Amino acid sequence: MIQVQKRVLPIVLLVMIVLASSCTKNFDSLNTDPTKGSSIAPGQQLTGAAYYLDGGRAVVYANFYVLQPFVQYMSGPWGMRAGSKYIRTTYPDAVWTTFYGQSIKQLVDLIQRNKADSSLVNYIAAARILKVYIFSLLTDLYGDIPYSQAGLGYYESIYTARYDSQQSIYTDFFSELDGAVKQFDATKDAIDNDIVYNGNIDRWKKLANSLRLRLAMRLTKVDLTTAAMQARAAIAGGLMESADDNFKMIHEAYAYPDLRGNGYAQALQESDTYLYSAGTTTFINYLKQNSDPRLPCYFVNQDANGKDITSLTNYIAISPGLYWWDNWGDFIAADGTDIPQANKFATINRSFMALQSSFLHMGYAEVQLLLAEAAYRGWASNAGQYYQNGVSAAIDQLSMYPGMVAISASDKANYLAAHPLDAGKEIQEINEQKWVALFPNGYEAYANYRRTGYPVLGAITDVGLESETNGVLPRRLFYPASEAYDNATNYNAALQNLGGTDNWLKPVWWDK
Amino acid sequence: MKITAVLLLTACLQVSASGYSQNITLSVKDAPLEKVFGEVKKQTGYSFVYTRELLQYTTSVSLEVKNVPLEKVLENCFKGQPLTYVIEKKFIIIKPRPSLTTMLTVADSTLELHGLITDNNGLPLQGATVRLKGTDLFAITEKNGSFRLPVGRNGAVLTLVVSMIGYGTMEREVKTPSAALNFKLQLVQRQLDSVVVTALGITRQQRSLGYAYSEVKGEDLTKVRENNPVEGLSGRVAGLEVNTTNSGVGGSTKVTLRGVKTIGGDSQPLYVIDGIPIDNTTPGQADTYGGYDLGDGSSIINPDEIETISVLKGGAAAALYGSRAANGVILITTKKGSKKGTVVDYTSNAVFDRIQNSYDYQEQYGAGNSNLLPMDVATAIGDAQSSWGPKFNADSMSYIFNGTKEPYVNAHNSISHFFRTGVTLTNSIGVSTGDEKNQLRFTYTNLYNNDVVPMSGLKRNNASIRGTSQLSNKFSIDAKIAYLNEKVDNRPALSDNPNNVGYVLSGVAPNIDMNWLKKYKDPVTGDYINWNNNEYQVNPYWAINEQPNTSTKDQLNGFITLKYKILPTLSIQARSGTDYSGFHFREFMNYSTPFNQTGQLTLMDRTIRETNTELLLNFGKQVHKFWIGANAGANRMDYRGNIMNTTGRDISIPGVESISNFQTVLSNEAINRKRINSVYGALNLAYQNYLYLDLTARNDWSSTLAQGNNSFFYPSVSSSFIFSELIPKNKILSYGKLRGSFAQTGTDAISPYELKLTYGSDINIPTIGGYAIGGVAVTEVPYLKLKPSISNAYEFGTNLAFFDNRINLDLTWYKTNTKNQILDAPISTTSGYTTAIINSGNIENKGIEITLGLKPIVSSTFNWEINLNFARNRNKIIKLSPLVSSYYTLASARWANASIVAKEGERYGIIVGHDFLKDSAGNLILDANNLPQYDPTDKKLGNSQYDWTGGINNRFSYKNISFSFLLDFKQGGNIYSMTNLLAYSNGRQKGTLKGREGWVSSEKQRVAAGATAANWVATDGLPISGVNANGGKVNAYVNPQTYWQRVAGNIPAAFIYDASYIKVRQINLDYSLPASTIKNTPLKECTISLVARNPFILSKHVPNIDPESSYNNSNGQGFEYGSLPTRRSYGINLYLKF
Repeated sequence: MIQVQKRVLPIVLLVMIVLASSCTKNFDSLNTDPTKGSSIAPGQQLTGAAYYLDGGRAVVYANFYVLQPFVQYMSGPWGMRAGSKYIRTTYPDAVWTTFYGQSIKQLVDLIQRNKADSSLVNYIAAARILKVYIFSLLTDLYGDIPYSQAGLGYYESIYTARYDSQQSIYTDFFSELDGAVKQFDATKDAIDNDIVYNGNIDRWKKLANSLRLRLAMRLTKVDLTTAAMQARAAIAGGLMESADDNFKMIHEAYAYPDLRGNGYAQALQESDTYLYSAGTTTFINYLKQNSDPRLPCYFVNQDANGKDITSLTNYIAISPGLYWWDNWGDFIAADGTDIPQANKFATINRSFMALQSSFLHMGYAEVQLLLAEAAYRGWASNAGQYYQNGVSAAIDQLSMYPGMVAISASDKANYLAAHPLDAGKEIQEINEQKWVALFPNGYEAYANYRRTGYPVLGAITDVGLESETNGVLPRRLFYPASEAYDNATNYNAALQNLGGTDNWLKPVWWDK
Repeated sequence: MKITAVLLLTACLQVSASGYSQNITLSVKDAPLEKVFGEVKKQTGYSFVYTRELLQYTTSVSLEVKNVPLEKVLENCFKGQPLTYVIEKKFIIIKPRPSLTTMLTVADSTLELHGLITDNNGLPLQGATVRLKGTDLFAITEKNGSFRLPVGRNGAVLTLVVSMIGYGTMEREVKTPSAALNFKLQLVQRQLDSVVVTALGITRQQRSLGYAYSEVKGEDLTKVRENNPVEGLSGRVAGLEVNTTNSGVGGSTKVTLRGVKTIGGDSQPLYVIDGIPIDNTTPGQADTYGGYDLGDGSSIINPDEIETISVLKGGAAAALYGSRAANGVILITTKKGSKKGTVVDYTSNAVFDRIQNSYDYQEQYGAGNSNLLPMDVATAIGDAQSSWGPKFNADSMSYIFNGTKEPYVNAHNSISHFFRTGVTLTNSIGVSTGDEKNQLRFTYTNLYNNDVVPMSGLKRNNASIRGTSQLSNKFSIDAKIAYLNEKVDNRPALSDNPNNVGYVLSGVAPNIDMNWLKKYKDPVTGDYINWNNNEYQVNPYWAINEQPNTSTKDQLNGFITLKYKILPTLSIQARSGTDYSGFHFREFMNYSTPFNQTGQLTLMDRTIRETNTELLLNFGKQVHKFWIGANAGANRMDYRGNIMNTTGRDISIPGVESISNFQTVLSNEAINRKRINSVYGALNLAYQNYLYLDLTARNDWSSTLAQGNNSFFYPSVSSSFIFSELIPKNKILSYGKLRGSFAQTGTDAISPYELKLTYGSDINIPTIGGYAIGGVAVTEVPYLKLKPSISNAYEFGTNLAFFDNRINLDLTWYKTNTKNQILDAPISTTSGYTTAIINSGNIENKGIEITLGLKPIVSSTFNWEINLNFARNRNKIIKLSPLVSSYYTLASARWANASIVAKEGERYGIIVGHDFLKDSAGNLILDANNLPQYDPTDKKLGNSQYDWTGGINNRFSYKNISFSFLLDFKQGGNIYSMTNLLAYSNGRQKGTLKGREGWVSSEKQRVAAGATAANWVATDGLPISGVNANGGKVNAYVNPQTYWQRVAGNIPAAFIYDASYIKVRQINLDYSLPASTIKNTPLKECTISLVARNPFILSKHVPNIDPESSYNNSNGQGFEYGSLPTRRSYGINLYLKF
């Protein structure tokens, strides 16, 4: 029996070890997720990146509650205190986390994964243009941001990206746009599944040049030489030629607040926010003073039953900084009709609430107005014509909103006739018109305001003494608080350029 | 299996030998029995099982036999001894002989001593030995505890020595030999000498363990029941911390042993039931943006089935369990069938739950804003949750959200009236039956619960059957199957969910009558009635009636063990067990539900299967004074989890709760697979009965790790020294042990698929306008070279017992360092990803644990026992990976402006966020409006970890009545209370009262003076002092509403509270019917108990909430948000045994 013991024991032990260790062979397949793939078509990824720009309401909050009240388009709901009274909130953070975490991520992956494949150059070029656009929104809001190292978490294991100076970012923007335009090759694979331009590489090129013009113009305060050079290059490259070239995202009438419905419309619908989203005196009075036919397109006065009572109120506007309930009191119309507080102010036109409406990121109207300024600055000719084209295109582009009141040809013609570009007031008029044309795109309106000082904004009324800046308009946004933890070293280095602490009153580089 | 049962009762010595004949040849003269046993063993291979104590009163034997059958030899040996024996397979089990008279060596009837021997509860002890000191005369007690001892002598000093296995020894001089002599024997503290279940189900003497060991008996958890028995461990075991979410029914339970050892991921121990690990993962938890606590796998644990719960806290204790035991092991041993006929246990428990009303809100100011009543219905809707109106005035009428005007007075019945009295009924029956060879046990438990939240409740059935059988001399089988069926209706939503009723209720203005909210939908259209202009705060009545959620769970857990004795010293065991669970959750949102206006149906189907198959060799041999034990084993663990999430959007017919009734249906599937292969071994050495050494080693191969890094080895060593065996018996120190251990444990990646990047289409939005949306499908950066993490744990401790076990002390010091941790580390979103899989860091936990048992009063009728435990754990993040930031965010909340982080050099889980902006002298730096500002640089505001935790259990017993209560302490942690923050912001917190009237009068003066706010200096209000931007001193008054809304919006520092508490965890009063009363009934035992669970919070420092409130079971504890009140329960428990 002892013999048995001596023989059996080592054998059993050996069998155990062999059994346990031999079965690591299929570990590889066992550890492969059967529900996912190891690659994806680049077109799906390009659309995936573009789609996060304005779909879903979270990413829109920055524009809705902060940026558009900053430029005094609207005010009134509690949430807009962030932008109308200058109270720090976390609303803008979703722009940062979504743009980096969704769009930049997919674009960097698309470029890194496919850059060696010469048949896919058109995808790469489009991705580079989209990437510049998204980074331009970010840097214009925040100043110095992670750029050259951004999105490289997987490819280079960069988990904490360095912040680049805005100046260096702009330098790279121009080179990227230039490179991308040159990279397009009609003989190579067309861009499939392209939600932006449906594979039309000419339109991508026009977008790249138009964007280049916008970014060139951004530098007029800080570096006029580069501005001129880049603007000239952009114009020479070929800009958007009609509204067909517009860079806009399409949406579906999908009630659930995900990416399918226009996020801006979703934000308006949320908790009946639209009922209190009133036009500010700054905006409405400007439109009124100029007898702008777009006023009824933008705003409407309705009673509790949705009946149009604009004729009684003539677009009562809210003073910047006020909540809809401040300055309490009913409005008694000329005919004696008592209009209660809740319906007193002119609120946004319901066409903007259509979930299937598009969001315009950059359009022909803006490009014509940019050209007008470029011409005024001597980098092109015929500023007046570009100005008129821009205003005309801006009026036309409202038709993209479903159910929008059509502006008659004669009203448009009358308005254009009454508004030539006046000598001596070119910068003001061009940029005021741009402000009107950009509504409701707070990103660009805010950046353009900071560069040009137009429109002239009204002082805010701070009834409850709540403003955290004592009424001074911020010149940038706070970095998301998460950066202080997740990217502490680089964040603290970036703060050195802001005086040691994050500060939204400090201007960005091109706003100095 | 009978062997094990005997071992459990006695401290066993086992003599081994290697002769294999049934006949014996023997020649001994005046040899001690033990020597004969050794010879018999050698020749036959039969082992003797007995305690030394038993041989104390035996006489030496002389034998001269040649080739005589074993039975004959034994008969000779035991002739005239107070012992008898039973042969059980290859074991000879020695027992005291039950009857007395035949055993007397000298008999004389002239004088007979008589009396009764009982335990300290007065229950008769059968089989106790009563010996006349200095003689060979003794008697053994009968079934009723009585003895008669003829001593035949009088006049001399008679001293009786009474003893019994498992009990102490008593000596008493007999003065009047004719009187009845009653002795009460003390149960020897089981903890010191008992046999306990350790890793891999191996039974060991507790004295041999080189690490701290804690055990809780099943019966401690059945009287005062928690719906989840794991919660019943709170306060009972040093170093074991229980956190529950305040979800109420069917929620999960987070257990932490000796502090958090891993920075991210799972910090919970492994649960093992009868050797089979169970999957304790949760199907879902509330996060920052809300959700439900969907429970965890521990609900399969049925307290009525539990024999013992062993808590293996340290590395050495758990090392044999491998990868998943890095956070310790909770080892559950369930009951087996009876060896003698049929025994039936029946437990019935009825408990009533009430909310522990800790709301302490202001009741003087109602709905309104800026000291004004709502001007119309539209404003009244906006103000329903804003208590910034004027002071109540019975003469004023105020608009109400529902369109009426009501007197502006305190409604008096606000928040707590929403809740009802909950009921929990538990009925359990256990039937045990069997004989020496085959045993069977069946348990069934039914639990029915109606929660304090209306519409919410749980129904649970647990059933299990276990059979054990000795099929032959060498072959035994043990098999069990347990089934759980659970249905939970309307789990309360937690955190930032729009239908979190706790959150919504705590904001309702005090003049709003809860009855008005009961009209929550339009009687004609069925649509939701807007009452507060906030779709994130749904009317609680709509929430409970129109947004029903239901979950069902079926869990099956079973094993089969086959054991074969190859040799007397060597056995092999094969065990295979599976834990399977199917979980289904559905949440319906009717048409017009705020936030989901077009309706929604969410379905989750989750099935998890984990199978473990093990082969284990056991070897044991006594070589002279050494005992050598060894085990070698191999295990394969296979895991598969399938999860299917389905969402239906856009309802077709309102009210119809079927996925077919939704126009858009989206599905998302996850399949998780994993395998771990392991081999392991252990060597246990014992020298005599006081020096022990254990060595273990294990190697794992895990499928979740990178090729080349997926094999990892780790050893442990532990030792125990019972020094009291080497010092003379004395009255002070009854027992003394020193122990120490070192262990290494390795951990793989918990989740699979963390090595490579994967791609997929967007799971929520397949296409838009015909364009497909896809891309990188993961938010974490994978890591191709992932390697295992390793923990090194040291532990030293001592067990001391003094004064006949009247004082028992257990001290432990430990230190654990966990390195190369596999973290899903939060990284900057600018990387494109939110987390990265890395091997990182070094987290250190060290601490002490003290368990103290006291018996201040021990008498025949009245006894008082105190059990006290204390644990202090300190953890420190020594190092994080240089690839990531030096902050590791554990939890971050958008509504909180604060985060819970792990930071290099700090303790785990500090709360960081905005503090008040102050100058160097500590003065507030005020803005132009004299309001406080925040410091833009985040500061450490508190710590979510407790400094120390403890529990005190007191038990008083008088005759058949016993009374006990358990106190639970936690000291030194912080909690960030969003409930209080919101209450300050909306004017409901009592703290907002200060300065309100003053501000009103100041405003009146201002209006009278015709001044604007900007050029008026307030004359009264909330006083504030600080410095202005230029450093000048400011003393001013501000509007309390503006002040609190500013602070609530920006400065979390104001809402960090001390989370320390002292709670009465449970109270019970038990009455057992005396044996004499039930003598003539079929009843063997009957106990009636009055019980209370969580009846009082004796001390806390945070208003309006329970400091234990938390909304999930993640590692980022320390945030509280809209908590439901704590439930307190009172009830009655009946226990019957037939």
